Amino acid sequence: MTLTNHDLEEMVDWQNGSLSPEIFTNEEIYRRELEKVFGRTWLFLAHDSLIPKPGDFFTTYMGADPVIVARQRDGSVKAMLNSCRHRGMMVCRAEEGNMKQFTCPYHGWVYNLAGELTSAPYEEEVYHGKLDKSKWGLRSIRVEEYKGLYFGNFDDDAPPLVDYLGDFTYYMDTWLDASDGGMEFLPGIIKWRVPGNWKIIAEQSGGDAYHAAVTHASSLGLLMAYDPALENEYGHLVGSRQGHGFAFFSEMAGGKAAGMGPEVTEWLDNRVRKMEEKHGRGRPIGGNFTIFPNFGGLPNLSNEPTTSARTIFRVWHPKGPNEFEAWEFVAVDKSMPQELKDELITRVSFAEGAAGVVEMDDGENWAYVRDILENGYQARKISWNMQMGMGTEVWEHDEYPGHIQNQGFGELPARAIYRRWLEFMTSEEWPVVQSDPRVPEFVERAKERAKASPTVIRDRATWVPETSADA
Amino acid sequence: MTLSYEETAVHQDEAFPYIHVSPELQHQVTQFYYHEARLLDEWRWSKWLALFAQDIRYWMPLRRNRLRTRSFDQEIPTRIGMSHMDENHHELSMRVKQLESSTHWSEQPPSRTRHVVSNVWVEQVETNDDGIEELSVRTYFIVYRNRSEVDVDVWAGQRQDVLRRDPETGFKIANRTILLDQNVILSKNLSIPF
Repeated sequence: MTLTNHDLEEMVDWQNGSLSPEIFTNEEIYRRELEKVFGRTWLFLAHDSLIPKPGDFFTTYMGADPVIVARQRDGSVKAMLNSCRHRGMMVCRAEEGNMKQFTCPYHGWVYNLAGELTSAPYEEEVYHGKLDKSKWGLRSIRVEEYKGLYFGNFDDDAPPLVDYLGDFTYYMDTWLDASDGGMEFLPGIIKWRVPGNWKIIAEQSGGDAYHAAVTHASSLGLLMAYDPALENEYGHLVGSRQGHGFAFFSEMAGGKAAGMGPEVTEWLDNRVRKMEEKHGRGRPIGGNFTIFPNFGGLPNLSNEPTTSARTIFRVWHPKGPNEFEAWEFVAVDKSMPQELKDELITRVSFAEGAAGVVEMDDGENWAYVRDILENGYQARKISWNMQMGMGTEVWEHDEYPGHIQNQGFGELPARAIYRRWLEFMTSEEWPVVQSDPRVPEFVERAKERAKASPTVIRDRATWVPETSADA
Repeated sequence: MTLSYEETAVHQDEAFPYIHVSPELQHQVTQFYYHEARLLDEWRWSKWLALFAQDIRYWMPLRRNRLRTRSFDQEIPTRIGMSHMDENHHELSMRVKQLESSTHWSEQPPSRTRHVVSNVWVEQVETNDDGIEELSVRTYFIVYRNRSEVDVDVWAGQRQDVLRRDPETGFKIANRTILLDQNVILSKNLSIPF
């Protein structure tokens, strides 16, 4: 069976709020996603602080394809497909480290940090000077950066990253620029395999607060302060026309950190003050978000002041239609006192991650949804409801960009995500957002803001290449 | 009878330090671990929690895929870094509270588990500043989990414990480091204690 665009349009009826579960489990749909969604969208690669020195590399995935991200001698960052041009073997299987070159373990083809083929064993004897090394480098990947976050794109015709993010940068800036000096990612990534389709976490991360009181009843409310009524009353939802989603609160916690000195308290209070000076009071700050398709997290969101000063970032890599791999990073302001960094790093895994008292209960739902869909027939043929809040959206908000819902529980972000998914899945050309007249204006405003408040990640003019000791 | 540190014969092999302990001490330690495993597998989590000292650090660090020639020592983090669990007594007691609640869906209904503990090595016997004997003990484990119908996970790893003599329970676990032999956790969560 070959799915037509019409079939897909029937499965994702975002206008009337219904969804076919077929999109979560169908192999053909998954294969098309790798081409049309993961092959064309901007995908999160790494943060600047994960690869600080020349020769530092970090391995990740774009869609289901392995990718190397490497800091070059001139300080720039390049990304390349982690697959040898001779027989496809991965040329790097460490998660991170520092290298001068990558040697394929199969036949020994050698690539430099930029992915260029530099030598092959017995090259003269066996290729007789006929191996054109300039043509057989690792497949290079377009890379762009926004405030320390590096994204990659397989599609050279895709619009620039800042256009892709669109007005969502309005929200991102508050997480990435809360204090002077930018962010750093703390060492270590929690990685775990979840039986489930990647879209199920994309929509939850993009704004499903509705599940929290039930799914997380044994952690939120029991182990941590939580009031679902407040969440709905003071929460807002954003559905960006570019497919990004956000559920947010606009108050940021400062104040005391239990058991820590006045320096920490002062720093926390200062952070709130600086944030408000920079971005204005009432600016959306904490919540949970998805940047289409597979990057998201929990910026500045926690039940208590100390841990609210960190942002959890997540990426979910598809591993077939019925499985994804979740990666969890923790980021803090570089200027945070070391005492508080140490405290956060020991505390953050308590709530989130594979063993986190909150997050572990999500895995249960995702996995059982997968089981039902994988094995069932009737269960795949019913339709699912995503109508919550339909008809109450504000299409133009005075302050907040994107489509807005003035309540914390709703499926506006989910409808925005699936609408965009459908556009990617059904178009041959790169799907430019055209139906919303305000989008070009959003993009212009985003560019102006980026110009007005640039975050200097590294001063490349004064970059001093370091020689790696262990090359 | 318990052998003090002085009474134990220390064999200091360069690559592999170990000590001879009396059969009785070996037996006490092994029985303690069997008891602990049974409490876990019978869902008696409060009783299990009572085996931990108030100053416990219960730590499950991440494992990292590093290149051997360069930074193999960093495979297991020695300094502070992100972890699956890094708990003090209060946090551990909250986990138990969660396990005992009726709405902890990853353990409701609870998983059937078998904690199989083996390779019990008493590596060091010392007397702490309060004059109480402390043992460094390494154990290997295999944990099997089945929940609901066909949901199965198997985890293997090593625990490095400090056991402190205790008049009530025989020992209290004063420190626990759990090295799970997975870089990517191959299960939807880690909702059971190790």
